Formats: sequence, structure tokens, C-alpha cells
Amino acid sequence: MKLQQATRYAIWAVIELASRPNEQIRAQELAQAYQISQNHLVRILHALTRANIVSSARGPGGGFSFCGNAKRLTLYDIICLFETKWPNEEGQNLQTGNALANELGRVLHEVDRITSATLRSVTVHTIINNARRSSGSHPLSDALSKAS
Amino acid sequence: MTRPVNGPRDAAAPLESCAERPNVTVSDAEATDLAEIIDLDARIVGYTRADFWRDLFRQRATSATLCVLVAKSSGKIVGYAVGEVRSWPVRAPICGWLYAIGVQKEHRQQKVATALMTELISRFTKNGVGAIRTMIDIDDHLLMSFLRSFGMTAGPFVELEMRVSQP
Repeated sequence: MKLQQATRYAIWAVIELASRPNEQIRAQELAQAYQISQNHLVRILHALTRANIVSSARGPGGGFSFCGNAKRLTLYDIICLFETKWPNEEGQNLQTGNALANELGRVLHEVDRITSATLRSVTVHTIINNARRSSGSHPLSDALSKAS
Repeated sequence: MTRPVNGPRDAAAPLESCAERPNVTVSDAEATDLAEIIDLDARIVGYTRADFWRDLFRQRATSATLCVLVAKSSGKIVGYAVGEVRSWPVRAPICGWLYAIGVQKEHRQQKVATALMTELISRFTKNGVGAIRTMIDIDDHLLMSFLRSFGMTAGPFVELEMRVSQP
């Protein structure tokens, strides 16, 4: 799946901010951490602010912080903010009445549906937790150790 | 195979959060629970599947690894989970299959599904299982999200199907 640069930056920023709750993080710090353009990142952070996913505070000690619900916010939600032509419904565009084109459209729609289901079911919280798990023990034993 | 549940979407939370609730317990279903489970299941999925549950209870008598778990609150069943350790006809090691998980609407967001899932994982690992699989509705994003919060991801198999005409 190919995402625009702005979309990738937005996902990185949201996950980074959500993984550090109660912290005000400056755009400069985020830009340096991911080695991306600060000006571009600021525009993205403002778009996330307008969407009530991120909040900003001015002045010394100010910065950006995550203010959404990490257990509810999915990758799909973030992507839809920045990808104006996504889902592109490419499959539906091929429904021309030609049997071969229709079949190709059906296959592309199948791909879109799987992609959509995946993105709609992965929350920011899950990304953060899975990243922590992958740097630790086996998922099963990790889940159980959390329970003990 | 797994059926809809609007369970909590948060990550594998400590079981003690449920164990601390004096009125919620997770245990093996008893034969006398069958009717109540069928009734609860019908309310969750919107249709009755009595045969499915009767078959499960029958199979449980001969299967050492088929688990039918119930979560009870004040003596009433508010959730269930079904799973089994079994082989699969493709080249893959034996794994734990999650067949069904459901929680009564009024008891969602209370980590009941988390407690059921955690207990099921515990049963699977005691049987030497190294992986858990399930099959869910592609449009059931909430259940998919709940299972992903436990660390489940897309596996190496894809479900395929086709329509066939009746003879």
C-alpha cells in the first residue's frame, strides 16, 4: 500500500505522541527523531489538531500532545484525513460492463476490502503495545504474564 | 468461526482487573448452562444457533481440549468463549483455535471478554500450543480490533470460498 508522505508523517507523529502521554513534545524534536522536514511536520500537526487528535500549547514547555482516544483511533481514521483519494475504489471504476474489466475490478475490490478491514481494526494503542511486545517476549507468554 | 462481540478494544489487560470484581468469574460451562448460553448467544448474534451449541457440548464430552468457558456475574452468564486445540489439514503445527467469543451488551467495556480470552490462552498454552488462530467476519472491525489488541495479526492462511449450485 502506497501512502503519501504527509500520511506517513501523520501516523508517525500520532503514534509517537500517543506513546508519550502527558508530555508536550516540540515539533523540532519529532522532526529530528524521524529525520523529516520540520515545516512539513508542523503543517501536519496543525491538521491533526483541527481533527482533535493532537493538541498544542504555546510558550516555554509547550509543544504538541496526543488528546485522542488511542484505544479507538485507528490507522484508517488517520489515513482518511490525509489521503483524499483513498479508498480509491479503483475496482469500482473498472466496472464498465466488459466482463474482463468487471472481473479485474472484483479482484481489486477484494484487495481494497482486506486493506480497509486491516486498517480499521488496528488502533494506535495496539500499534504501541505490539511494538513493546515485539521488543520483549513471545506474545502468548507476554499476554499471560500481564495476567499474572 | 468467531462470532461478533463488541468487547473492549484495549490491550490484554490484567486478569486481576476482572478477578477483583467479586461478581464476575470465568469457569468451564456446566451442562446446565446450555440453555442460558443459547439464549445469550441469540441475543448477541441476533439469531438462534441451538444446534451449534448442542454439538459443542456433545463434542466436549469426547475432546480433552475443547473449552467452553462462561463468565458469570451474580450467577448469570454474561459472556462465553469457545476454543480447542486441534490439528489442521494444511501443513501447520497444532494450534489453539478460537471458535467463538461473546459478551452481553450490558457487560461490555468491563473487560469480560479480556478475562475470557486470557483464560482461553492459558488453557491453550498448558496444552503446549504455540499459536492461536481464528476466523472472523471481515467487516467485524470491533472484534478484529479486540483480538489485535492481544497481539493477533493476519496469519499465513487466507480463507477462500465459492458458491455452488444445488443438484
